[in-house]
Amino acid sequence: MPEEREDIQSIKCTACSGDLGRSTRIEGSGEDAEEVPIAKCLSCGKEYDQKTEEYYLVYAEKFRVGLENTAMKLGAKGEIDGVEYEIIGRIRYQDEEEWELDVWDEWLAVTADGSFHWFVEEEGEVHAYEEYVPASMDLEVSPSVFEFEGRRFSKENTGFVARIVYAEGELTWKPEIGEPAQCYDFRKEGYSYTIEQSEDEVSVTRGKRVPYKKVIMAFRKEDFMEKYGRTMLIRERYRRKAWIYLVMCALSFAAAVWGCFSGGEMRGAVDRSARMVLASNQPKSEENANFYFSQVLYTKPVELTRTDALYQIRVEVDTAVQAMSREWESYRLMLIKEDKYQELVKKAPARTAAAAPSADDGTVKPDDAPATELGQVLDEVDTFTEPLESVSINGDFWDEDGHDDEGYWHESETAIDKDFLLDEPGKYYIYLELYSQNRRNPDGIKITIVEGVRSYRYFVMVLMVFIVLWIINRVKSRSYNELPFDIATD
Amino acid sequence: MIRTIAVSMILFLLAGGFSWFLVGYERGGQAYINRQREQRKSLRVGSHAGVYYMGGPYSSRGPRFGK
Repeated sequence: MPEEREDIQSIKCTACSGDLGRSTRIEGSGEDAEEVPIAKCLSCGKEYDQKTEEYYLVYAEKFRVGLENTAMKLGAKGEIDGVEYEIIGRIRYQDEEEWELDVWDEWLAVTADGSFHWFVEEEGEVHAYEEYVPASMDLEVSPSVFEFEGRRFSKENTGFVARIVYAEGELTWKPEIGEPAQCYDFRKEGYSYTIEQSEDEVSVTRGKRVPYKKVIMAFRKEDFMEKYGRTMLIRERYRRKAWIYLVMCALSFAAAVWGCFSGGEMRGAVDRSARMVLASNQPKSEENANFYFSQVLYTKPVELTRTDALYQIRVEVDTAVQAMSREWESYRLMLIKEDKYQELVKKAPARTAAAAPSADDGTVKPDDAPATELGQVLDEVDTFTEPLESVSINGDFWDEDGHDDEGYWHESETAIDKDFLLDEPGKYYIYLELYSQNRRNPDGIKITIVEGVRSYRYFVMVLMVFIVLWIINRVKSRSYNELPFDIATD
Repeated sequence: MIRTIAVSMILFLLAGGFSWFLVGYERGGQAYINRQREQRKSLRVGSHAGVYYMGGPYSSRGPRFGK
């Protein structure tokens, strides 16, 4: 530490020779404003950002973290693919565009025949590079493009400036901290290429990825091989688990889809021609709300026999009869079992027959149908000590529009599906109550029944669980690591 | 691995069981009638409160503003 402090104190301002220190400044404006580190002269205030050498000297300590957490080390000897290497030097680079730590290590190795090779350790991968002489290359084709062996590459997509932030051992030249190098990284025909362009020379290296296992076996077998083996073993376990959960995702999805598309419409089950309008648009007022009340009884029973699957009843506004516009309508639909219906009719047969002629005899005009006595009895259905109905479902239709900050909007809900399970097969009569804001034709409601509907909600739930488990295990199969440095999947 | 397969199968079979026995769905018929009987014991004769106004028409009514 005392040595580092001495280094910092010896860095002088190019303008006034004053000492440089660490500081920050705000980059960008508004929501994009960001406080970034800079070096600053303590005397004249001159600022040095990450595009200056002084910056890297002042922050040298920041770029030296984890120097030991690498797959290679200086002086290590090892054999990869039959070639013996000795690591003799290292350079650490930082990407100039990044404010945060974004470093990689390049290790210089020499072989028994005296040739130099570079091992680049970056983002969990190791690539072995060697000098390469391209058949053709032109870096000045245009300001944005360069040519390499007949192919053109974008400078913007492949280029970056690397700054030397640390060096040790023997190297083929004497690097300076903060020294910039314009680099272009790209891939071509299975190889990784790096073009390094400095003021007076251009060098090209070509490399291929070397599996970590080979690198560790060659250079750090005693230090890391056991941890590497354990890391790979556990990653493999997570990978297998991820596969199992993926298979379960597929099974759950298939089961959910099967449930979604189950069931078939009971065509003709609800006979609209066989219905009695018991009351039509009676004005009512309850709980400070005014509305119109209508009652419709379907006199042909529906035979419901399934107790092992769901029934789905869809009640919808029949817009062919009467459209909805800026209004609401609520419904309550009851299924009355045949025996209870017969009992009810026995109690009031005359009233039913006299007061409520059927629709198909042409005597009922929906909007002026009288309030029948049967209707009055059914209006009090909630007060019966013994429930009359076997199922009761309800819902609201609405149609609204207006203006908001995005302009005009118009929304409506005119069809509602409800599922239920019936534990008693038999014949059921449909009784419908309608409550509306405006006078509405009681004929304007369409009822559809679907039978044999299967549940899928629980398969959707477990599908979500399996997806989460799959993601967790998938991530862990790539990220689990007992080693002190990042390691990608070989 | 066996534990993972076992847990997965248990979850899947639970979903299958819940789906097969239609757990959590509205039950009509005798189950509904029994439920209504219990509910109506606590109601005054002639009262409209407590039955459909608890979850029936107007239950989801209310001003809707915008999208």
